[in-house]
Amino acid sequence: MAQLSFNSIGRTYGEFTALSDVNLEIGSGEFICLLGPSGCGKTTLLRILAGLETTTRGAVHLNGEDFSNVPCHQRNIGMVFQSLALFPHLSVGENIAYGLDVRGVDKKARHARAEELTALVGLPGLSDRPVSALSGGQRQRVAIARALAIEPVLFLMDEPFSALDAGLREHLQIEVKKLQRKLGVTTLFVTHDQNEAMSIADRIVILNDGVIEQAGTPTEVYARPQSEFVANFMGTNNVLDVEFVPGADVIWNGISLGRPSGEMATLSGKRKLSVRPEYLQLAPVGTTGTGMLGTVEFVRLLGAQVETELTVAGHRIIDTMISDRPPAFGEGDRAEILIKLDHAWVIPS
Amino acid sequence: MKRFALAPHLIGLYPLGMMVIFFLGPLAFMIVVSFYLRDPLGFYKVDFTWENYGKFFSSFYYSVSLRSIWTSALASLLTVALAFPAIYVITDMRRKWQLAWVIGLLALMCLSEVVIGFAWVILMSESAGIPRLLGWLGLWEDPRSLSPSRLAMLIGMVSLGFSLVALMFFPQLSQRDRSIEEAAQTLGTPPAQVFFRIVLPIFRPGLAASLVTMFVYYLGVYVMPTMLGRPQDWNMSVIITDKAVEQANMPLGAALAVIMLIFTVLLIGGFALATRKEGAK
Repeated sequence: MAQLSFNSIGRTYGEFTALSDVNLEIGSGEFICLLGPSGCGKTTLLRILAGLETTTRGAVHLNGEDFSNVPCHQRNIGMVFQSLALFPHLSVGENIAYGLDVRGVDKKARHARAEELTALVGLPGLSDRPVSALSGGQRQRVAIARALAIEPVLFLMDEPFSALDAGLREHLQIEVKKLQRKLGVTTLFVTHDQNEAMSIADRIVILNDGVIEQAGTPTEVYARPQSEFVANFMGTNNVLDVEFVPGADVIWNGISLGRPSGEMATLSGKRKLSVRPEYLQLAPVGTTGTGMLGTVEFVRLLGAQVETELTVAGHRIIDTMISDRPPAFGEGDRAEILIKLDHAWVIPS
Repeated sequence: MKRFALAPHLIGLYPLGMMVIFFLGPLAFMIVVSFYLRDPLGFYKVDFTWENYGKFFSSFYYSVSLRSIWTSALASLLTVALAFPAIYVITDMRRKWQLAWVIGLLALMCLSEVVIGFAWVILMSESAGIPRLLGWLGLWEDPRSLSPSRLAMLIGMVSLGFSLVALMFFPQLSQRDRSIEEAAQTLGTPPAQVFFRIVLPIFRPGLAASLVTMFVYYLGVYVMPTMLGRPQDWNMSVIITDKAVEQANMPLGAALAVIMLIFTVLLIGGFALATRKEGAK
């Protein structure tokens, strides 16, 4: 299978730098999510891989061989486009079999393969339908089947589910993940949705301004962000500018957050502390007498969780807790905020 | 009870009125005249005769009809075959170049047929045009004028319809989803084949419609055949004018025009029917 490496890839458009010095190793059969805000270069990276875009520096190696000069049509890479890009003049079966037709596979074998793939993606018996007669989810499946029909060395997807409603999107995420595991094809999936990335990726590559901020498993990037950008981009977070003094309390805006233990106790100086909302606890004023006090600004229910936004000395703090656990706080209430420092993460500077 | 609303129905009278004044009225008059007798000294004598239609069924009119159809078909095919790839290339250019081309094409459209015709007459003349240039370059030993000729007439017709077809496809082609062509490439289509394997089939209905439109348009051209064609290249439009005006035979001209109109309507109707069947498939 395919082992892929990006070696200091750069891409500029005149003055604009889309990608600068991207280095990444991808193992065979991995499911990688390229995640980042719009304009971060994630789609450019995918298009470079497909051969639809050129690099201004660096090279991509597939199984140790530089394939920067291999034209797109000879790369054998299956790609699902954001617009899906189905061939409107062909039926479902013809769309799926197109890549095989180009490769000169005879009609009977093409037909058999198309039937196999329609079954694989859950569209049995729809081969003869025109693609215009399909629903959004079905068109997605056709696009996936068409890309997989050529038995690609790499499988690329460019925000394929962005146009679907939430329920269908989750359903297809799970299906794609299962399909990828079954086929073992190395996959790169572009998205701007961190939930989508967390739920399907083996490894998430977070890009910002054409640079890789961090690459790691969903747990790593969520629990141990390597930069402030990642800490803020992956889910809701509180990033606090704190000061460590060995042998003393951690200080944030003149407020004590408690005495650090373990490795954290050896730190000194100004650092950024990432404290996930789920590791904050709200308690009625006077519970411990040592916690910092905040005013509840806004409360919203997110199903299983309730999210509370508070202000402490003019700074915003977000807390989440399981929604059925008392005490509940209303807007305008004062509350004591307890931080579990053991679960806080010091962002490397 | 539902009240009958008159106003929405009255609005329909407006296009109907326009149609009657500008098209149906003159048409009815022409149909009536086509049954009259020729009056060599005046316009016509009121009568009812099938004689004018009878004249159509002769080898002369058969060959004129066939020639008209063949010339129009060839010219429309050439026009679409040249203009579609051209505008396809133009829509992939940078914005400012696209604009320059569109302005150029529009400018070409605002020129009168007569001006374009004269330009070609001069370009193809023995003394000043392409033949002289070829002679001077030594590529043509004995340069002769290229017009009037069948080729000159076809060139004139194509230059008339080129910008029309190009501009007809501009919106569709510039707004097309380019990732479809990219998808074809990722699936293994060499870039040079993408146009034939993907773009042409996708635009097939539009291409067919433009072929029919241009065919009908070329059936009625008058200036180019008279300026650039020889009498044996003339199409039905020129013959009709010749009969009606030069030979003062209005009834015969009218009858020929009615026959041509029926043929055109049948053609468009047949095309509409064929495309509807395809759509229902």
